[in-house]
Amino acid sequence: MIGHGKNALSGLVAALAVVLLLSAIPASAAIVGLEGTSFNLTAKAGYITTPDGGSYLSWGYANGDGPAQYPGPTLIVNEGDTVTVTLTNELATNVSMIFPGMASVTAKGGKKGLFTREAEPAKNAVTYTFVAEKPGTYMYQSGTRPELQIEMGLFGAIIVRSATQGQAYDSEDTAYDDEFLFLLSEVDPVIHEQMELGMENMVDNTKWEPVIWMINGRSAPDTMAPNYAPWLPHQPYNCMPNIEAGQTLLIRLANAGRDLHPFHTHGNHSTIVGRYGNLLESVPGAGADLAVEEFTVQMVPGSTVDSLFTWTGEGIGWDVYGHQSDINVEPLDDFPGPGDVDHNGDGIVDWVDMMPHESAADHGKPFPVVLPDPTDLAFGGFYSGSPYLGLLGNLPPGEGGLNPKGGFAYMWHSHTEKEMVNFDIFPGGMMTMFIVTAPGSGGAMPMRADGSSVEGR
Amino acid sequence: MMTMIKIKKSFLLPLIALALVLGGSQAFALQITLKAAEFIHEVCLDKNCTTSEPVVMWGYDQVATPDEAANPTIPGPVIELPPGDSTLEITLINELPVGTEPTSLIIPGLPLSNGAGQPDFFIDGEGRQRARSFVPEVAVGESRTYVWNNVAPGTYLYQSGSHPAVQVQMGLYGAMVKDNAVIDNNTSEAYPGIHYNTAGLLVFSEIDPVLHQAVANGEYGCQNCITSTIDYQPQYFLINGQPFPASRVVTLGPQSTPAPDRQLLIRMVNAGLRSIAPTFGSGTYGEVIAEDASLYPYTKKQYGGLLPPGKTKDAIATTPPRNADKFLFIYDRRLSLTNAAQSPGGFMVVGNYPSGGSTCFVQSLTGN
Repeated sequence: MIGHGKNALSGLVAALAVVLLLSAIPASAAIVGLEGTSFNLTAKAGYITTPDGGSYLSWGYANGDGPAQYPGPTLIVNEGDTVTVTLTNELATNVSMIFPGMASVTAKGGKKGLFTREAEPAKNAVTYTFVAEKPGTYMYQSGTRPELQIEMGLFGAIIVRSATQGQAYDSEDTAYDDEFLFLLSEVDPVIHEQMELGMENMVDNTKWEPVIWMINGRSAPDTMAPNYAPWLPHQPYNCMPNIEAGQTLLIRLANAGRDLHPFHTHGNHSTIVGRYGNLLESVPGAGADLAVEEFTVQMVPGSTVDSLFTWTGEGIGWDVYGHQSDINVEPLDDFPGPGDVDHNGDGIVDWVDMMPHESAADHGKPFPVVLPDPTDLAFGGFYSGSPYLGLLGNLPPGEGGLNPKGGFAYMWHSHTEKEMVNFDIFPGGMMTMFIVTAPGSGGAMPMRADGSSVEGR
Repeated sequence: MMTMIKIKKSFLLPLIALALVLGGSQAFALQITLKAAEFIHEVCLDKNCTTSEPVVMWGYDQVATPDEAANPTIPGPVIELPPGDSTLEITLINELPVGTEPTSLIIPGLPLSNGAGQPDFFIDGEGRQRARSFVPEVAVGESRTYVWNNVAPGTYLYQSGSHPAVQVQMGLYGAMVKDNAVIDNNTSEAYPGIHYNTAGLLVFSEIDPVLHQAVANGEYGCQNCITSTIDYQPQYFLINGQPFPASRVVTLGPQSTPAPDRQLLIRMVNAGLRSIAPTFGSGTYGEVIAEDASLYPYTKKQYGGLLPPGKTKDAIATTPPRNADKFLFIYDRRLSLTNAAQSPGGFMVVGNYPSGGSTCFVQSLTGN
């Protein structure tokens, strides 16, 4: 990653410049969805698939004439926008949309229902209008027989962007470099099978028992497949969070399901700055002064949480950035020069500058374990072969393919461990992998597609 | 459906005397008598209860004298402890069927002043001594007075402290509330600094009729019977004793007539065995101000939240826009929204704007 010699510093500076340039680009690419203020959604049926081979009739909101989506399209709007959603119904039962947290919703057309106005089958659309008054993460969902229709898939996420780009809320305490959506849900296949067989009268809400758990409408390992993967036509959204070391990732969590899901981020705590679309502040203008750090976020059904996650390797016990050459390699040129200092206080002047956000205590420390011979190991697809960020070690042919940039991989998942299965097969379910890559690596993993292309394998 | 208990002036003199006898530092106490008894509860399956499901339950009733016949309800009567009182005394008479169980009374968050941490024991089938209750019990046909001193303002759950896995879900629960102060004829103070005009009380609970029938038939806990509540699968999800569409909010506080610009305090109690996620049907926010009768240092602005079993929470409501005569006030985002398999039903309650252009809806939420 970093060259062995002082001239490498100039490369480092250039790499940092790239990082800075990248961070100036609006960080919207990582959550895909529909942008704008006017949306035409259609409720229709489709089949979702699960990694264990299951295929289940589902209902979903489609983008216009597109396929039914589980979840529905992520609506990305800006703070202050007046948003119009026109709902057309191609199902055989009334459907509707409600927008928890949006106080100003008006509904026109259709027929009066319990929660809101409903679109009747094969009749005129219903138009919902609201003002996205506050930035934050929200959901929309069916307001018609929700215990059945949300289970069938009639829900989706709404992102309301702050007027200040790159912030979750109107506070610099919520600045982020990249953002990812984690929309949680469950599936009870029995209900979907009963609906497919025309046995709606057999559906008993009190016997609901999910056996499939999803993030953004997919169960692991499909969570890690590309966005808009052609083999998942009704489940377009992946969940492949990744950042470069030192960057801040905005975790936008939303629980569309009925059960509590303790969402666990391996690798570090995250700092919860917002709940239910509200900045956690004591008084207006105070910033996120009520933010809390948690390593497992309790996700209440219907709730949303905005949380900031960063990873620098601090406290890990070795220099993940690979500066061990400070110790192992003879310095060149005019060492020690005026800019060379003893970062970690070991009495040895270091000649490689620290990375931004790097912990001084670990600077220059080598990996403390002698790695076993590769022939004695079994490999996972995320192992790069090196304990250092951005470096690839020797691996047998075909290994390491999921991690071509030498990142570190951490499992992020529901800590209700039984939810990490597909039906009864482990691993799977409400789980994905978070990848942290080296500064300047460009961040993107091959599978972090924006929908247009998939680089790498 | 629910009865409310208000302190009567005639209570005061004897209570002062009693307080002196007890040597307590507080001058006033609320003294009531509750009977625990079996009854048939009709679970309403439509708004006017023209069809209903009878369920054998155990419940509380307040009686003026020990001889008065019990007419229990679920939840039990709302106990309102006046702001000036800090001692609550409940005499519990156990009129559960002969041969059933001793019972007792606890208020989570309030240590009993006469018997806290003194369970009653029984000898199980293998000769082991095991605790059966949290506090001293009352055998069938007998009575006992439970005393709580230093009661702080807040929203509380009272419930059976004996064999709670069975007795609570059988219906032995209710709400106890205490305000911090009366400000004026229109305003009360729930906690220091939290003023309101009307309080809506919602006591959530569930019923699994299979368990109730087993208990009523003496088929619970015996050999080849239902041995535990492990398979608890409730069919009815009740707010103040009835599921939607018969569910109602009980109003408390100084005002029960509608007017603009009033503060609505929502007191929520989960007497059931499952977590609930009460959520505003209108999509608007409320401010959660307290939990377990303890005021938060900062309010939590949320359109929904978690209400685990045994917990109480208090919120200040935001009045939804007046775009309909009726609106969905609160529903459970865990989606227990059916009566058995019948939709709609369950944990939902409808609000109602009164005619006349007022923006307040509290009067029409008054219990039937």
